[in-house]
Amino acid sequence: MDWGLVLFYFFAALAVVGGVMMITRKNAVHSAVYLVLTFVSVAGIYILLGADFLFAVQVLVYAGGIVVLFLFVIMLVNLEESRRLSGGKLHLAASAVLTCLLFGMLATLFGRVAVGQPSVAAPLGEGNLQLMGIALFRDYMLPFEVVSLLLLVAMIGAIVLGRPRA
Amino acid sequence: MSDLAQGLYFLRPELLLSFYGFFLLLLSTLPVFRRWVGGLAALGCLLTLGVVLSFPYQQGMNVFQASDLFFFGNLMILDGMALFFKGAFLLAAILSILISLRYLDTEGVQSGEYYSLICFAVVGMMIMASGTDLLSIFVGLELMAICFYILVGYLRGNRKSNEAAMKYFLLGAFSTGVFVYGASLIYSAKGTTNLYQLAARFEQGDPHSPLLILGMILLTVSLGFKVAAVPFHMWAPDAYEGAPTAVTAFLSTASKAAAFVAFVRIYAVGFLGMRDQWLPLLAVLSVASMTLGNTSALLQDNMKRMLAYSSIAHAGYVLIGIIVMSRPEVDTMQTGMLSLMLYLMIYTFINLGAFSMVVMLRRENLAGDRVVDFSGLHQRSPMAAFAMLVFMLSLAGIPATAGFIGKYYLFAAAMKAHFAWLAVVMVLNSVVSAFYYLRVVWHMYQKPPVDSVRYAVSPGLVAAVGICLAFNLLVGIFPETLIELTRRSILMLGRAG
Amino acid sequence: MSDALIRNFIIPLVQVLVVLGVAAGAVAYMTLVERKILAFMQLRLSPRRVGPHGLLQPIADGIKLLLKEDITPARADRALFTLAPIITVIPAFTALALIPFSGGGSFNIFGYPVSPWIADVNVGVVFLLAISSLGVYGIMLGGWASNSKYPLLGSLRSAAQMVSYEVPFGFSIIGVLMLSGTASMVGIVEAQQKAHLWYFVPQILGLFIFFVSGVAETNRLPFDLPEAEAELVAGFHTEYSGMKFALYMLAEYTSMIVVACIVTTLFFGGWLRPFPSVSALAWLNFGLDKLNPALPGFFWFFLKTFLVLFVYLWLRGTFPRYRYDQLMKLGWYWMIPLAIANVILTGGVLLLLRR
Repeated sequence: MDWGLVLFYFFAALAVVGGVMMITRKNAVHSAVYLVLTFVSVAGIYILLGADFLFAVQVLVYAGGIVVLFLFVIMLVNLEESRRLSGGKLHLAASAVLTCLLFGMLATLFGRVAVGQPSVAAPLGEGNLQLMGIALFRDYMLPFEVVSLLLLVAMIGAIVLGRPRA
Repeated sequence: MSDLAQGLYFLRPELLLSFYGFFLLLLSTLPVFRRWVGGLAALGCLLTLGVVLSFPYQQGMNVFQASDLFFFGNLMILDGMALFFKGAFLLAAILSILISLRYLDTEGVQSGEYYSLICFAVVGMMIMASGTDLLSIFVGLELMAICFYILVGYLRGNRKSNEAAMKYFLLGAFSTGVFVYGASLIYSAKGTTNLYQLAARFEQGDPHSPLLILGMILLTVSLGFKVAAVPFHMWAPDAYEGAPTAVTAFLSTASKAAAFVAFVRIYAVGFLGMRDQWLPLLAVLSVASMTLGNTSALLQDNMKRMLAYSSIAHAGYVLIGIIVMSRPEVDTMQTGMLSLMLYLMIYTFINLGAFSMVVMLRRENLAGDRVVDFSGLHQRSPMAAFAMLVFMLSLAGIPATAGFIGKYYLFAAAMKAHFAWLAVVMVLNSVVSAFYYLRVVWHMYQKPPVDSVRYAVSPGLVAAVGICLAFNLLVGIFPETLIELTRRSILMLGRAG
Repeated sequence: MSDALIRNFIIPLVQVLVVLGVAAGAVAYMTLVERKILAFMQLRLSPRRVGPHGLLQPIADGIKLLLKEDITPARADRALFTLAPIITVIPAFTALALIPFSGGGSFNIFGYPVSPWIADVNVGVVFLLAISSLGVYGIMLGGWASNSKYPLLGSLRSAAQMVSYEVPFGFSIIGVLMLSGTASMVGIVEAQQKAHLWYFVPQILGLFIFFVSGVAETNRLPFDLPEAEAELVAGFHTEYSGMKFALYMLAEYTSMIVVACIVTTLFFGGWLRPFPSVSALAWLNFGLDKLNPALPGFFWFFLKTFLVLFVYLWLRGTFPRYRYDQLMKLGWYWMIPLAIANVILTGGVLLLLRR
């Protein structure tokens, strides 16, 4: 029995369940909790792939940072029960049909990729913290620096839009 | 020269403008300098333009070997197309800053961060123009997009501006996610995000994996959103209407041009091997954008919304240029490239001019963005009416204006590449578009004025309109110089084997 | 039983059980030690009725908490109200898996080598940060699920506090990572051994920031605003009673111990005895290293951890509680800039030394 595969299906199922529950819950706090479940399950899959650093960052940034802020905002505005979308049955039916079509399309596309065929993308393997550092600071230094500029701009934006009016 | 030193050398325009953005940010904290920030921003863009132009001046037009053009390990390229578009972005930024100078006071907003955000947006665009890797294109795209989300919502007291920023941000963030998803599928199928390596792997006869096709479709969706092509155009009218007009002018020209550079790099380089797959997709987008954009524009009473739909239609025209580039013959490809670059450059000057006129009508408590606000412009200010007349005729593509040259080259390129049916659709659409452009002209010359509030004329605005007007007339009558410049830029375009 | 099963499943399981047991016992007696030390500092008597010198007090407390009625408020969100204390405990205990309690050798039990830590991960420190960042959920959800105003206020405060202090908490470690060149907990201790230097000397600023942020992260005095008695009754756990309340306490004390363990490992040489390279001080091993080279490590590790925990209690006995805005100001105006300055400084000095 391949325990890696079993664990993969476990985490994958958990992630999907979390995702579905997240969009179907009426209560925003419950949705956020399921979102955390999804993030952590995806992080589990990263561990199975041998990407430890990615696991840590996924948990640290998404589960530990972003959703906490979501929850914070939800609690501050006291978003108890979100109202149902007033789209009507036609809207619902149309989205259902479109979603099924998209799913069918994706399923056929992915189905054509032979199962078990190794991906071209190379796994990072042992010592991936070092490899990640080298990739970020040598090969991809420019995008990395541009991202720092991007974050600065986002910060300026938050200050500009949140500043009390003069 | 080491790789890093060469990279920094090639990156001079971006570096200069980023530092300039920081400089403006610091300067705007001192009340004494606040009045000067706008002018200094324009000056900074002008300096950067000088640096951009110094590359061909120092190196000569054809000195570069194709492989010397890459920097930062094949993430970036400095070819003629990149330089051409960097110049276009900077010109658009300078003109937008010129029309913002007085406009921001009229709207009553603090201007400090506004100008540095414009500088950072241009840095993002310049990185996009040079990017030869999905990764570098993506970070440039995001830098630009985030600046625009903020700029669109810059009028915080204005509900329309808030709504526009919210819609643009939500849909923009979604399209970003789509881009990354598409790029990740491409990476998993081919093991690289570098466009030239992708092209090389196609030539080695790798099979077309379904993942690759799905990734390509997703990238098309995302870029289609950025250029506002139908059916990904929903955000454009609202965002254009709600944003500060000067930002709309910048958004509709420079950001669109930047997204088209990414389009060209990704489709005409990276995905050239799967042209049969993307050709029908882009053809559908192009025809839908032209038709829907023009027919919707007919129904608009608001000038900014009308120009928004017109810009959707123009995105449809420009897509023809990319479709032409799917032809395997080298000279046909170059014709497509030439027509696309020419069109985007000309469109930048027309649209900036048209939006400058809308800015002029924004005064005191009048929004001045309805078509009827242009009534009687001829009686009150014949020069302004003449300028607007030229811009409208140019947008419609009437001969003796720059717009005609752009359309003519696209048309010729489509015919040469045996896409006669696309050329026909384009001409039909141009005829339809003439109706709503000429409606503005009719209001200006045949209707009495609706109000008597003074127009918001300022030196910056006059300069911007003057430059746009001169460009339109000069290029309309003597197009050779611009065409020659564009042609040379293309010849500099290196193709790594 | 196959060899692989024992190596990959049974041995880790036993290790986990041992660590859990020791940690739970440590938490129980930590409460007693805390009360003793506080009483000593405040010149009053500590619990001394149950057993000799009150030594059985924790057991009495435990039994009392187990037997208390477990109340769920009528309008609470039942599922989350139950889940929240559990969510709090899990990350606190998971973090213990990465702590190297000793080193320099492994134990030979029934012919299988057993290391004195549960897991040595390549990205250990980042892993720890990630795990500890999940602790905030239990507090937030518990406060919200109680459907009561004081707990909600407490949980909102804690969310803001923990998110703010997570930044300097993570940043202050980077100096240590730069010195050691590895993110593995075991590797960091070995690097200190090789450098003949415990990192609290070059990283005194980092230690200060890390410890202060750690106190804020674990919601301990003087930063215990989520449960400030004077303002918020008991903060996020106002509505909790019985075993659920006990779980919150368990998590809080476990997190304290974890922070102390990390401080010991990163800044005070982990399991190393003082001056490990000076052979004249070999008597500090008490001859235990002849039995097994890893044995004296336990002693030194636990001693250092206890000293760090003592500082925790010392702070509690000495400082008044911060006001909320002061706390946020301290975090954003002082801790984060200082942490970034520490990184830059460390990098600069390293560059100069390498030249």
